[in-house]
Amino acid sequence: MNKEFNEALQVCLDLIRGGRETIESAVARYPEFADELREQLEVATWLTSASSALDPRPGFVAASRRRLVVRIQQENQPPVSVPLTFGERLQQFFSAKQLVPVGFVLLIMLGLIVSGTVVSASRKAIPGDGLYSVKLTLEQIAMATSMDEKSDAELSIQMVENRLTEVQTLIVEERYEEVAETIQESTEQISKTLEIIKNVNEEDRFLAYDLAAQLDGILGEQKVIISVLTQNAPDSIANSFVRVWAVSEVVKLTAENIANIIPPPPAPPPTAIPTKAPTSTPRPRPTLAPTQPPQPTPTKTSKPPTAVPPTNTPVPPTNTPLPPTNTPAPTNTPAPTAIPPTNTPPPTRVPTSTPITVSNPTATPSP
Amino acid sequence: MLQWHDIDDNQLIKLAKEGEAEAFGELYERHVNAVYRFLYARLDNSMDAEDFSEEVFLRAWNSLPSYHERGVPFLAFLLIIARNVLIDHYRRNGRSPQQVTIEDIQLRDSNPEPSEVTARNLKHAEIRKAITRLRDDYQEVLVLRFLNDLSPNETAQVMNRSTGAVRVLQHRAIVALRKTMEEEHEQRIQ
Repeated sequence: MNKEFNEALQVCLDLIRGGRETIESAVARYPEFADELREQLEVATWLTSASSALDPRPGFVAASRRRLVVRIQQENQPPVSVPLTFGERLQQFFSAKQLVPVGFVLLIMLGLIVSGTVVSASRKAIPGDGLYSVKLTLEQIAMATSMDEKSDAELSIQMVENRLTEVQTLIVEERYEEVAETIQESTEQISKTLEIIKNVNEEDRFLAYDLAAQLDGILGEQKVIISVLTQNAPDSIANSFVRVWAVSEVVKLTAENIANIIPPPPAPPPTAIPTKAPTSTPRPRPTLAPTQPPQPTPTKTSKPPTAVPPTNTPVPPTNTPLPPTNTPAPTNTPAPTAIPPTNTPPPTRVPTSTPITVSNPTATPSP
Repeated sequence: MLQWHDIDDNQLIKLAKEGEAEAFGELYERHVNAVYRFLYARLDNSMDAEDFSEEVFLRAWNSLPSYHERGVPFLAFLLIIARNVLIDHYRRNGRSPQQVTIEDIQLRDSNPEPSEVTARNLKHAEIRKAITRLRDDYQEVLVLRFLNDLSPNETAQVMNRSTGAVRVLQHRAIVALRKTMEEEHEQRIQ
């Protein structure tokens, strides 16, 4: 294939496409490439004639044009043909995709700031304010998430103080229509707190006393303040506190009762000059307990046998012959010691190893 | 009163660059057939070709500010984008254009829905069957030259090659296609 053939092929294609000539008439212009041109043109014209089969379906172009234009208009991103300024280049650098995580973080931060602001603002809200429901909700959440009764009691005491402080603000702002309901809520809250303190009392009297005393102190302070504030308020407002103060008396009594049953704390040790505490107190050494009762140790005291004086009582003879007994003589019998002579007859020597034999039982000695 | 179709491409491009969506709509209408044809010749169904055609023009709209820097005719610019859309499509589906086998088409042809079998679809299938056996660059040069009717110079711009290279490629592609068709014919006879 050379340049001339390519040019011939292109000319033939243009002629055929223009409809001016057929393959044969076009090939006839280049007899030197006729065979090869014919083969190529047949394939090329087959493809060209098939191109219409690849056109889009009717209606697609018009419909998709409208769709495309609307989509472009919605995106509202006209392409910029003028040279970009530094700011625009920066804007292009931080494209939408790159700003997605940044935007997400900013959104979270904005949410936190807004929620923090709402929470902060709701703390100062009083009945009738838009954020007051947020304040009450937060209190309920705190109560629901507290871990023990001590926290419950402390939160409940705080809620009592909140309600009474709100009453003060309402009176100061002369929003008397909200006062009665708030007083009612504060009374109920005091009762709830008392119940919690009673529960705490079953576990820890000292803690219960502290809580009751804390509540009593708050109620005392509030009573003083509210009494002053209600001087200029309508009588109905002042009267509505009767129940609150009645309940506060119960609190005071509860605190006193708990205090009474609490044993007095041990007296502190005298503040003497501290001495050095012994680090090791001597303790008696334990002895082994005897397992057997003590027994007297045998002593080798040799006590001589005392001589038995002979008795004069005659032994009546019996007819019963006694069999001879071989009574063994005691061995190792200590020798009798010499006794000074007395009126008593001298002791007879007892023959050793001599059996006593009664030869004639009838011959009884005469007395 | 001046109508959109009275305005030439260059003027429409200028208006579109200034944000005139309707001007770009006119450009769309003028060139969408060529883009669709280029895509459909390389795809198996017309729905994909329609979707990708719209995607090509949306990409073109977004790339319009840098269009003049490319220094190519608008249609070549669109077909370059279409080529990239096809490459993306094949990457997503894990197969290259050359992996679309003739067996795939034969399998689809074996169970055609009678209502869907139109002469146009059969012709499309015939073209696909003929060219899918060819190398990717052969397919591309044949589609651009004979289905899109681009000149060798425009084809060279789209394919990012010299005009001479496109002529050589076109010659080889035609020879290869003819050989493929003859083999197909012989198989049918046997």
